[in-house]
Amino acid sequence: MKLRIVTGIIISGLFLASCGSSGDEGNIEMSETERAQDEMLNEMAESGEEEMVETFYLPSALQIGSIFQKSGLNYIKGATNPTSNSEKYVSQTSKILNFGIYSADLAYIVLNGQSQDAVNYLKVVSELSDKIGFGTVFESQDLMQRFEANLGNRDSVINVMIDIQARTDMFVDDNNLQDVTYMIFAGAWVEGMYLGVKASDKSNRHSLSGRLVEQMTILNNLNKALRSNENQTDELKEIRKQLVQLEQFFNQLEENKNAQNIASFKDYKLSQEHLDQLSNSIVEIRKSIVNP
Amino acid sequence: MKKVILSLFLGLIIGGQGFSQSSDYCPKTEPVIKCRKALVPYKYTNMVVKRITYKRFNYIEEISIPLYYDARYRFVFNTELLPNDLKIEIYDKPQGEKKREKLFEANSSEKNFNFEPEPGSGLYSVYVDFLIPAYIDENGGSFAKGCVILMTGFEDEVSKAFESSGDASTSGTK
Repeated sequence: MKLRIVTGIIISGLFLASCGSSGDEGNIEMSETERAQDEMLNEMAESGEEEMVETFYLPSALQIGSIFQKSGLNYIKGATNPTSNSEKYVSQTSKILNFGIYSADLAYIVLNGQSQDAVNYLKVVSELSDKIGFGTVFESQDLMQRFEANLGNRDSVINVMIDIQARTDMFVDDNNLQDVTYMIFAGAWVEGMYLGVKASDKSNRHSLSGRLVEQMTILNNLNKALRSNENQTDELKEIRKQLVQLEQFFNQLEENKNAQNIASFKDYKLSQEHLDQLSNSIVEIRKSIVNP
Repeated sequence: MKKVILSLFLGLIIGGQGFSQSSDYCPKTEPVIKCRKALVPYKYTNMVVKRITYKRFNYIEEISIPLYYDARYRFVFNTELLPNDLKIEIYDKPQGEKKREKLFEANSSEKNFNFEPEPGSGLYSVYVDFLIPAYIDENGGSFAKGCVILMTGFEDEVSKAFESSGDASTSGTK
C-alpha cells in the first residue's frame, strides 16, 4: 500500500511537471514519465506475486464427524473436552486451537442427538468465537434461536451448523483470516481423530482404522497450511512439530506399500501395533492442545 | 507549492485506487448465493475463494481436495468475477505426476458449472488446476485480478436412494 502511494505520488508529480513543460524538454520528461510508469507496472506485477497466497482446502468439522459416525462411531459421554476447560485458555493460539476442538465436539454431539450438551457446547463455541475475533458469525440472534428451537430435530440442527460453517467461511474470506481458520481446523481435525480413537472397539476397529488412515491424506494439506501461517507462535510450532511427526510416522508405514492396489481406504489393513501407535500420538497431540 | 500539494493529492488518489482495486475485486455475495443454490441437494461443506492474479506470463495454480471414499461430492464453480478467461482442469494426481488422468475441464466463460467425482472411484484426492493465461492490457499494465468461487458439498446417507431421480448425477454438468 505504502509503495503504491509513493509510486503514485512520483508518477503524478512527474505527470504534472510534464504538463507544465514544452518542446524538446517536454519529450525528455515524457520519457522519464514512461520509465517511471514502467517501473510502477513492474512493481505492481511483483507485488501481485507477493500477494499470491497458496490456497488450501480443508473439510468442515461437521463433515469429519459425519464420516466417522457413518463408520460406527458411537457416542461416548465424557470423551469431549469439558466446557469448564474453556476458561483456562489464555493465549490467542490456545483459544483458536480449542475453538476447533469444541467445534468438532459440537458436531459430534449434534450428530449423536445429544440436545442438552449441544446447547452448552454451542455456548462455549460462541464465547470463544468472540474471543478470537469471530464474534460476528454468531451475532445473529436468529442463528442461536434456530439452533435452540430445533434441538429435538437432528437434521434441522445440522442445517443450522452448516449455516454457521458457511457464515464462518464468508467471514474468514472477507477479513483475510485464512491463517486462523487453518489453526481452527487443526484443533477440529485432532479432536475428530481423538473421538475416532476413543470410540474404537473390537466391533468397529476395522472400519474406524480405515477412516483414521483416510484422514492422513488431509493431514498433508493441514501441515502445509499451518506451515504457511505467518504468525508462528511457540505453541503453534509445537503442535506443528507433532503433526509433522505424525505424518512422517504414517508415511513410513510398511502397510502403505500394499495400499497401492486397494480400491479404497476401506480395505486398508493397519496392524494393531501401528494403530496403537497412531492412536497414542493422537492422544498426545490432543493433550497438548486441551491442556496447554 | 500548489503543484506539490496537487501532486500529493493525485498520488494519494492513485495509491488509493490501487488499494480499492485489491480489496474490491471480489464482491462475492451474489455468486455465493448462486453457488449455494447450485449445491442442492448436497450439504455444504466448504467454500474456497481462489484469488487470481493475471501476470505477464502463463502459469498454473493447483488446489488439492481430499475426498472421503464413500461420500458423494459436488463441486460448484462460479467464475463471473474474473476479468479474463481461464481454464479449469481437474485431475486424479498432482502436477508433475506421470500418467495423471484429466477428469474434467471447463472454460471460465461458462460462468457456472459443476463437477461430481465418480462415486467409488477410489480417488483419495482430486487436483483442481487453474490455468491462468498471460495478460497485458493496452496501456502495458499487467495487474488484472479476479476470483473464482469453489464451493463443495457432500452427500453420504441417502444419495443412493435418489440415484434414479437424476438429482445425483455424476461427472461434470454445465
